[in-house]
Amino acid sequence: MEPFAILFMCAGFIGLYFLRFRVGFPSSYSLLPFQSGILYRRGIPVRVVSPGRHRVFLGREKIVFLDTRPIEVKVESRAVGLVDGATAFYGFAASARVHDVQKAIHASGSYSELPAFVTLCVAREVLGRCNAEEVKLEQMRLNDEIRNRCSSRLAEAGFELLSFGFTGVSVVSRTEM
Amino acid sequence: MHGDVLGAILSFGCLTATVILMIRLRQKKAVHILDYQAGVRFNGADPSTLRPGVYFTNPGSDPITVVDMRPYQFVLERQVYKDALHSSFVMSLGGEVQVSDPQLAVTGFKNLVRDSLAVVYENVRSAASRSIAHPGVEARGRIAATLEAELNRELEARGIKVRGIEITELWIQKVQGAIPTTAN
Repeated sequence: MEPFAILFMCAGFIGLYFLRFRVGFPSSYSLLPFQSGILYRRGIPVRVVSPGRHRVFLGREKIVFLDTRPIEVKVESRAVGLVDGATAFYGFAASARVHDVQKAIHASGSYSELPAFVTLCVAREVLGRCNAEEVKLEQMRLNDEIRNRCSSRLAEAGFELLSFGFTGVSVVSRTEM
Repeated sequence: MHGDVLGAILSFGCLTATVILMIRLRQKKAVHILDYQAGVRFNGADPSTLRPGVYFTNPGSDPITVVDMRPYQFVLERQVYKDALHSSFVMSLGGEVQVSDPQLAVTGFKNLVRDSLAVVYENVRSAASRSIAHPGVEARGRIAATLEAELNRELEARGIKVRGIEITELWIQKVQGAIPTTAN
């Protein structure tokens, strides 16, 4: 074989390899029906991708996806001190799911724990501002208040609150403890 | 004759150079640094921070560590502290911890999330011991802001910061036993 032919062949191989770094290697990625993601190109988000097959150029593009199935939160036997010195024991169940993928990805490094964080903080904070009578007699109002506050906080983080409800609330006054 | 030998040597040299170059290039791996991440490249003694993008690097000789810059949420429930007046109080709080300086964070923590949360919990205790607990609901916002500022002063040197501190419960524990009314 001619030396120049070999030279051009080698140059061609090297050129193709450098093209791999620049353009990427064509491949495909499938998102399942309960997944949603963002296509990143060179580290910058390009668009939201829905379930299905997507073409990506390896080395240049990457898909980061989230599970959009409901995230359940179940909390039992928590206690909070009330403003009149009594203690309320409560538990609740809630569920939320990812609604806005872009917000949810950026909201937390561990997105699946965000609903639990928000519901725990809001429930304790709302109950902690009440006295024993309010907790005993106004559970529906407190439930609605907590649900509304959780809903707005989760919406800012790209989540949709599906449900929230107390599983049990009881009050122990200071003299009984 | 000489031309044939030279041609053969040139061909052999080209093929060898191509093979070596392609082996070196194959060792390079793509590292994606996304918009919510930062990369720290350790080039000898001086680390450098990399912006979002794709970097091809040899993991053995030119490693890049990807740091997640997103916040991690934490909850501390019903912890007992002593304030500046040595009163015991119970406090629950929630907040977020986030990397502020990726170079400091990577060199300071082996497991960024677990170890940084442990440092935050320890600093909450020491920051709380320098404050004065007030059981009033209205004072929680002010105490949370003070706590956040104190925590960030302590954590700045470690490359992390806290934000969104909210106090969800705060009450002062009753003093056990009688307080003497006369002094010796």
